[in-house]
Amino acid sequence: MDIAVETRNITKRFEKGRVVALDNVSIYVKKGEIFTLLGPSGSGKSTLLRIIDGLEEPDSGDVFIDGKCVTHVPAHKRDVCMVFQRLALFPHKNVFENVAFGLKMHKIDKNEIKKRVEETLWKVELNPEIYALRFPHQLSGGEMQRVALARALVLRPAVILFDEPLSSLDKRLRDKMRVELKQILKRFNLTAIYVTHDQEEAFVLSDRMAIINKGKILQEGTPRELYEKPQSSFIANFLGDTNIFKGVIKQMKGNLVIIELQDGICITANYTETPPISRDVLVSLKAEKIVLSDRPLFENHLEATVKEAIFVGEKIIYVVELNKELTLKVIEKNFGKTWRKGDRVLVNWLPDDIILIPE
Amino acid sequence: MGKTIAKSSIFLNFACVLISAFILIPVVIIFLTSLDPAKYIRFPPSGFSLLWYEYFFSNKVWQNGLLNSVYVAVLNTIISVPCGILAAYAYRKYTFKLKNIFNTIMIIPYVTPSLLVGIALLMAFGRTILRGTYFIVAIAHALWSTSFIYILMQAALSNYDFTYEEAAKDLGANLFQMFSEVTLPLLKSAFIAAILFAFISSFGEVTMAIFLVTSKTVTLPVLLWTSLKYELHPVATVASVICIIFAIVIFMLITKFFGTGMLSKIGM
Repeated sequence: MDIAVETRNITKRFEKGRVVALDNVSIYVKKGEIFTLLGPSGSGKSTLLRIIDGLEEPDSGDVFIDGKCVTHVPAHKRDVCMVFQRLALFPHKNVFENVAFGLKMHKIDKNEIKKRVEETLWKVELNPEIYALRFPHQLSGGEMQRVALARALVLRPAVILFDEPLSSLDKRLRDKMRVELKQILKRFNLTAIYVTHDQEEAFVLSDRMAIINKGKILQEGTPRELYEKPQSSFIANFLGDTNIFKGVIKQMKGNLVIIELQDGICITANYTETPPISRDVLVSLKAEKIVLSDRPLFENHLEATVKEAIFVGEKIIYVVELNKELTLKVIEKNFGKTWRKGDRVLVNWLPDDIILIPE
Repeated sequence: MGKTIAKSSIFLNFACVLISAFILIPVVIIFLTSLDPAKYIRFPPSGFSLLWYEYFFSNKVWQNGLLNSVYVAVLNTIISVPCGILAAYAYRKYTFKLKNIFNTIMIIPYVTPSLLVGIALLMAFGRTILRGTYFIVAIAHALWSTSFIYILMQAALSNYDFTYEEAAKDLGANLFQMFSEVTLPLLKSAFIAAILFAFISSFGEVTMAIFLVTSKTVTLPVLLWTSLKYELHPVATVASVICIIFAIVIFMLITKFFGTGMLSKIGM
């Protein structure tokens, strides 16, 4: 396994040590991999990116790029490039000059610069004949993104860092750009670290991802692993629409656990790996894993009343009430039978979809 | 609707003309008086001639005064522009200890009466080798000027995104390349405005200079002041016109490079 970037025990404090931005953070990114750091704003994800880029120095810990320790190497001598949140295309330089900037700084021969810039503009699907002489203010949001990407790509860095570059675009364009971005990165087998607070963006782009909160890496793995097997209520809550309950284990037989949520209301769950240690557990159930029906579909079902039905277009969000204190969020496709406020329904789910959170 | 706008715009034009006329009164009076061939200053003028302009440009004392003013202004610009710009840049870009105190210290010369600065420098350097040199006058001006440029650059830098510099570093630019490729071109107008402000503020300054010059280093405004005080010689009006022209031309250049928007930001 070839490691492109690794951080070891990075710690960084701000404001004279009062604010801990990063707390003992260790991550690694394999060559050719798209690795995403997903976290809420202020979680420290951008700081980690800036430390990898060399724009900030960690208080302790080390950064390795291609196996070499670069902790004290300044930004301009590191083999990494960043696509900034606000893109930071030089407003006084045209597209060609922006993309050529890095090569010019590295004193590359003029003809070679021209060749590589044009080659790179084609890679990001911008025709150099049309775009080379335009200035950033003459470009659309999507075109600016491409130029910013080209400016980093042209240097063929060991890793490209992305600091939420799509966040300024409107939703439709953002959806389109992230798919395109992934295609470009994959086509040229590039290594990337992508920072975002947007779960969907992280899921679309990542081979592997890590969730970061309050300067700590909480869990890392593939998007699917994180979504299906969250190891903390923070992650269970952060990813997707999740119902989380406190419960008490009543009975265990084989792989099945029976958990009482409240007096009388019991559910059955599967556990595959380690059995829960304490009797008090947190139980997570994703909203889209629940099916509403008028007849029992699975073994796990409970009676409920529809409190709210919110039409969103392709899906319908229901809030159903099991009893006065226990409500569930349910997401169903806008297909087949739909329900209205006040309807009596059965809520069904598979025992596999109940996740016990070890905490 | 359209009619109301047209009416009020006529009124507005009228008001503008009136206010401009009021503001121009002293300039016009001095300009007309400078063209009067009479041997003493009076208004309205009795004739038209360039007599006193000829006198001004052929008289050694006044010529010297003009040159001295230029020397001092250039020297002041060389000292105060880098100091003011670098101080403002550091303040905006970095976090450091006692930053607020630094900021206050930088602004003190701007709010101190220049009379006091002149007297203080005279007392400090009056008996040293620096007495009566261009350098000591320029230093006095640079105190005020650095402070002013610091404030001016704060305004310019508030619109400046330091991410451009980070992007340059990220792409492999060293400090010098970053400055010449990104910082300088992006802040060019502000730098030019700072230079022009430094020059003109020093060129027309009299309150500090009057304490610090000797007959050899006397500047144009000081000469003008003494001439008006002791002889009321008509050539003083010519000197005034020259000062005014310098100021107007430079201010026009400043608005061209800096834009009026930025000037309103610093309360000009």
